[in-house]
Amino acid sequence: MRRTSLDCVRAFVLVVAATLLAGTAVAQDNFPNRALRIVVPFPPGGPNDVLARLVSDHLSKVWGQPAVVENRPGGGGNLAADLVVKAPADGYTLLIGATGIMAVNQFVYKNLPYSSSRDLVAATMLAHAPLILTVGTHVTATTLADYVAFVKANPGKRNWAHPGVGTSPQLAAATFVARAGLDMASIPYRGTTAIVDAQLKGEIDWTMDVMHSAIPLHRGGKVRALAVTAKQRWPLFPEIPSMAEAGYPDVDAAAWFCIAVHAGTPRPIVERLGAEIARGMKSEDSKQRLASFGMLDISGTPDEARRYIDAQIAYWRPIVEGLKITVE
Amino acid sequence: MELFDNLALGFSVALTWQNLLFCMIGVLIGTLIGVLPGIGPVATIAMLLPITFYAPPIAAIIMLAGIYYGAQYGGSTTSILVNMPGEASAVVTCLDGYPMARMGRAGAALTVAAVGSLFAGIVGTLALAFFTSPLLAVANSFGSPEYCSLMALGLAASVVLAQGSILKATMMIFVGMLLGLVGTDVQSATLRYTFGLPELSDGIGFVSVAMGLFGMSEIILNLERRLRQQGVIAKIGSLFPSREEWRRAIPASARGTGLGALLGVLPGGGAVMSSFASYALEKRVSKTPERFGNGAIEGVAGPEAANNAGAQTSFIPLLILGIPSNAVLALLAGAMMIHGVAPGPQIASSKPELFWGVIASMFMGNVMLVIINLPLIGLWVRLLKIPYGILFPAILFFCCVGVYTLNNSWFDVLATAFFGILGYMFRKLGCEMAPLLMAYVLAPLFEENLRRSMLLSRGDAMVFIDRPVSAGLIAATIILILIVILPNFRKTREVAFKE
Repeated sequence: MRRTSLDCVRAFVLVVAATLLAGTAVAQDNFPNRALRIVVPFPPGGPNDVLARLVSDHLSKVWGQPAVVENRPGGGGNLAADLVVKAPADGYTLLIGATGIMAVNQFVYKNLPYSSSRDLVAATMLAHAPLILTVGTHVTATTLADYVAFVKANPGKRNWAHPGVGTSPQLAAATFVARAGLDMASIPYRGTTAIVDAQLKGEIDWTMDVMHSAIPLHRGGKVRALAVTAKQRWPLFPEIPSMAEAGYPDVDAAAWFCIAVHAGTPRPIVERLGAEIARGMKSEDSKQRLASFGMLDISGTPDEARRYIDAQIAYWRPIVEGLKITVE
Repeated sequence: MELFDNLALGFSVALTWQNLLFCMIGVLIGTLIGVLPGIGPVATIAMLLPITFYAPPIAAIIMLAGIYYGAQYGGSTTSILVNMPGEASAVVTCLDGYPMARMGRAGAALTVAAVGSLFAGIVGTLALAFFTSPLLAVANSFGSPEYCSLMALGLAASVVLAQGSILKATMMIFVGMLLGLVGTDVQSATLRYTFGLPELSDGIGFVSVAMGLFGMSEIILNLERRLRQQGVIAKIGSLFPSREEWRRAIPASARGTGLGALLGVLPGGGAVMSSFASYALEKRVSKTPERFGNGAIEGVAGPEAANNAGAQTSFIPLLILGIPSNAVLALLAGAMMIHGVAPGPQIASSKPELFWGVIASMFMGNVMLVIINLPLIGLWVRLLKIPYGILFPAILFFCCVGVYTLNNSWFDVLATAFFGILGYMFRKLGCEMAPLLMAYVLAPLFEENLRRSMLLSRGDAMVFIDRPVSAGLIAATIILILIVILPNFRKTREVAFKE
């Protein structure tokens, strides 16, 4: 009796397993056979959102399935990441992963409900751009060296601004302040637009701004770009010196974006997603739209994405730990 | 005249059939989403963004801008008809618009709102075309200390929004301030009053608070009072305002327009203040302030004009400096960038046909809006004849859909329900919601700017007095508080002496 019931169980398990396997095989063959969703960790309008809409536009055209963009802002991107981690691992829920979610947050936040390295896997990188250090026009210095000298002559009197503790602009800027040994006050603002407003009025001297906000102001003469936070000059704006040239090679923070899915997603689906999205990113039209945000395409395979993100984690970890920044 | 050449260029762009059509589509969509409670321009523009990839940049931006200011027109409709403010600027419209609707004057309120909005929209657009630099100078004189003092004035003036007990209104202001401080502290990134809920880490959503406190609690009250009655409003009077109503509304619209145009330029929360400031002003200058809150037409005309004038002039910081004043304009800035047009100081000289074309389209759009909206008023008002048993589930349904689409989060829907019940309790206790809501909006701005000013001044509080604009605002705040306190103080003393 006992034996037969065990056999029954065994047979049942086998049947279920076979069905499930067959199910996944079928799912992979005709992926996608329903609508996809792309979760964006920020409100509409920024580069995260624009990239999601470019990807959505491309996927729905080539696959004939809608790819619905869902903005899920909050908690520095952690709410969106948590949502994707809790969704089924079938490749239908995509996440726009960025510097925070994929690399920095795990060192900054004390209690994260997910682990980006354990629970998420990148299908492809999308695009990246360095940050730009801009000074308001009330500052007379025209090079970073001049500005550093000016602050050293006026210790404790000048201000710099950031869009929130634990964000990559704040971490990059704090690194620069530490390396240059500057005695300045850091002033927090809610978002980069508030910073630009304050900078135009001369309330703060400098900030590390994102490309698409800094470049029009720089070209219009309202702020002066002193450096890009990279080892080399940025090909789209070669007139701006790099941080490495100015003598701060480890201020190397880029804003970058990838498409991530649940880590349990079958590998063939991850690869299919990555390949198709990368093909879309390499189109002339996408490249042009990226360039208007100051970004360059870095799409490729899941393995390339893994290497890029690992390098970023290795870069940010000592920085966050060195600055001793934690957020609840 | 270079300016007239520019405007001529603008109209030559805006008056092509294609751009007129896109403008028309934009304002039509804007009107529709404005009327649906909760579904805001942010979700709509975000959804339409990929479609505009295939349109020429100017046409796309004209359409998206049309959605934005079109939604400002439509937003007043739900406030007046069912007491549902979809955004901060519509809160004060509820205060007198809804009582007017209950008296059968919904048509008049909507007409005054639409005509006032047309006037304000056109004046605002003229300001955008002609007075950019003086308005920018005003905006530039506002640093953190000035914003802090402006918010202090706003908080003090929140008392004026109430009609009943000043003590209760003051209490509601403090409750509102506490609600406004929920979330992540900007300076230390510490979480405050979030009770371990990650959904609260960016604060409580405005739409949840406003819709819950005003709209949902109203529905609960209506169900309690007269479930079996046919419709919310028994009689529907003339759709058009009487001569007396026009006489009261016109100067209010004019004052509201001026105030809104000025405050709309301030990116750090000026637009939020405009409709509210206009209401406070109307109540102050009125010879019969006791009518406010019971259906005073000035209380609809002024704030509605202010909010539309502000919507137009809030394009100034965006188009001239690249600074978006609110979430919708931030989205619009993103849309412009997708089309390869970075909003910023260069846009007027590098893309004059776009810059002036969009401005010219706003004249056309505002006229179209009134042509669309006036005939619709009859239709909206007739909605009130629908039996309440059918109307209220529909309202609740649209509310939930709208609230959900904001962040795609069920938490926001639950929060709305929570504030609905809280609002019901407050009403039973005779506490008014408007002061709470204003404090909830202003408190985080006040705190942020206060602490930032102190950081910038290295802890010297004299910064608020040393700067003339800030000193003026502080003086106004103190005077306002004295005006409110003294008569009450005298009264209590008289009572005390009698005994």
